Amino acid sequence: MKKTITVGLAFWLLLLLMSCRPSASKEEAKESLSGVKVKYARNFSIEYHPGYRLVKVFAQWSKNKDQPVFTYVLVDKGNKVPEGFAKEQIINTPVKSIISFSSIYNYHLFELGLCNRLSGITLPDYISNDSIRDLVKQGKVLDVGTGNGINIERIISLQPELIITYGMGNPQVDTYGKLISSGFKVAVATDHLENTPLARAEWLKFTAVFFNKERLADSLFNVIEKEYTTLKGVSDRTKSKPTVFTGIKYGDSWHMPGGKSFFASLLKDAGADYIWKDDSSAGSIPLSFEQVILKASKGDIWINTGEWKSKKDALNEDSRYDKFLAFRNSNIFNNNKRTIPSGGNDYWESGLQHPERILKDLISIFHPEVFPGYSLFYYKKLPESPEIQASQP
Amino acid sequence: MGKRFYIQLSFLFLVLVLLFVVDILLGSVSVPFREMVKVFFSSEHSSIYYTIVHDFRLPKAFTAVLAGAALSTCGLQMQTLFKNPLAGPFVLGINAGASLAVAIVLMGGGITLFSVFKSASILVFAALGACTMLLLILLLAGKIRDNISLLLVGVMIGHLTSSVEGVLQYFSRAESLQSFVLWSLGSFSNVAWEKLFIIFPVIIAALLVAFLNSKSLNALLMGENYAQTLGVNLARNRFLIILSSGTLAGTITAFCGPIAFIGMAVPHLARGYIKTSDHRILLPITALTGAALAVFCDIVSQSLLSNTVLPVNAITSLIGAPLVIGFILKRKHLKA
Repeated sequence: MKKTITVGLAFWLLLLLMSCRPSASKEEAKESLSGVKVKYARNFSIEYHPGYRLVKVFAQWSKNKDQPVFTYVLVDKGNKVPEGFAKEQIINTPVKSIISFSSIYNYHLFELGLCNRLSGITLPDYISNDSIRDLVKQGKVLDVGTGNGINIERIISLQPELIITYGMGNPQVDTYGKLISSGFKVAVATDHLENTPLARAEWLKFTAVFFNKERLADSLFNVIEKEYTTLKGVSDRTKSKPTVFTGIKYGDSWHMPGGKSFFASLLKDAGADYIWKDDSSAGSIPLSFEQVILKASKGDIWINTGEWKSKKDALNEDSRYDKFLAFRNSNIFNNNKRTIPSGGNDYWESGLQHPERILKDLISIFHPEVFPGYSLFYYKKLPESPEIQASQP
Repeated sequence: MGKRFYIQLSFLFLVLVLLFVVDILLGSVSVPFREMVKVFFSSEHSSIYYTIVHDFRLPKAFTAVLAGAALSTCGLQMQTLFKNPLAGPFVLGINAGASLAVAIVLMGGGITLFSVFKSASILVFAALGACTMLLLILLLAGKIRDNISLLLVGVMIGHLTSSVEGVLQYFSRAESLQSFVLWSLGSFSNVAWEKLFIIFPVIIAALLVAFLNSKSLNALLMGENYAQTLGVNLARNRFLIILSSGTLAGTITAFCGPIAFIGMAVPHLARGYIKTSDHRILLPITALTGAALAVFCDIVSQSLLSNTVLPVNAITSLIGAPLVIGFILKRKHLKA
């Protein structure tokens, strides 16, 4: 009996030791030795050099698009910093604590199993991921504010080894300038400028590289890529292509994704005939209501309709939305099925990272015969009037 | 009221009709002439051009007419009431009052209470906000005799409301913030027919009150003591002027956002054109000039850039500001 207890105790201790993973950083160091390739994303690259890695970030808003806007020199902790990089940010990897300025990078950490490295976030109401929401609730992850309300003192007190944020090329929106000048190491991502879903999902490798986890990211991404490509093959074989348009008007402008944009690419892969597919821009084109009506009044399907929960919401905003055939035929699908009451929409979190799930939804919307019985994951057909929640008395 | 007045009035009306037609013809989509003829003279209404002209351009042009007439009439009434040539819905914080009320409805949780009557409640709140601010200013006007000080107080109140809006913005959700910011840019094009049917009777009624009250506006111009000796019921007339001005500015601000400059600039334009301070003449001329200027601004905002619609506020300020500076330089017209 005593022996059993001793063996049991030893086993338990072993488990405890293993779960603590004292050699984690060694493993992480080893993992990064063999390089991973960036296949789809155009806005970042990883170069492997003896003793260090170079991560370069590019941006369409930069004057010289071929030159990186940011270059990071990643050196494993304990290794010597290479010479000749006076201007670049030197990041000691693997990073132990990070503050994230967007829910998509939070989600990257979740996918990589690195939530415990997260110490600060912004806009907690807009985070959908339960694991991260729990950490915020428990006070393990703090809100560091956003925009002008950014809480520099709290960020200093958290002592992050890295801050990850996005770069829009607009000093009014971007916070990285303020953060870099405050002396923090800031990884600036331009994932939102990628114009294919796989390229955007591949940015998981960018977040991972600072933790020496790019090989894990690579294997996770390969699964996504395979699934996406298979689904695309399914939609390619469908015969009819419904005409599709997207978005709603804000103020006087209806920002329609350009023909070379992320959405245009997603719609093409899902087997839709996007009404603005011949447009040449990669961003969005501001159109007037008149211009949209002219081209889309007879469009078959209308997707991504902002905050609308029902057709009534649309009519309350502007009664003239009923001039669209898709509206009268109730062929409107919104991507807000997984929106939480405080405002976060998982479509922009796990969806961006799993374009294969979005693609399956869209294929099922455009070609319902392909996946009979499939229930939509992110999308919802817009009902006539607001649905009464079952949970409400 | 002589023959000259009617000639001038008809001329202005003609200009307005012409601008109205141009506003219907121009837009971000070019409508072929043949289709345009069909829209008005054919019973076939299924064409997409019919939708564009009938459901978008016509209500927008009518909204511009109503907004221009309402704001400039409000401006004229206030310039007379406060004996201040710089008075207008913007300067004395009337717009700020309406704007604050809308901010409270859109961002301060009022929306959950009134979501069913969202547009109607914005209208009521904006009008209430405008009237409250006007009453407040008028109360202060009783204490502060000096017009410049009153103007300063109005500007300060404007700052106060905008800082409250700033705090509300800080705590509000991104979506409601967005609808407030978009509203504050100003636009004539968000008014569809059924909203126009709400605005139209309200504006016409408030304009009628203003026109019927024009004799007492004349009396006020002579000074309060003189007005009293004429037997004008000052308290009642002030109330009517406030009610009419607050309703005019509040309604337009609710549906189109705070439209800048028209209210302050147009009365000066009208005085320059008609060269009289008789409100029986000045009021209709001001209303027509305001309508024409608003339609003109709409045309410019639609057609200045080929692919994009500019916010109408940018245009009204662009045209309004030089006008006001011009009048300050030619000071002889600058009297209330």
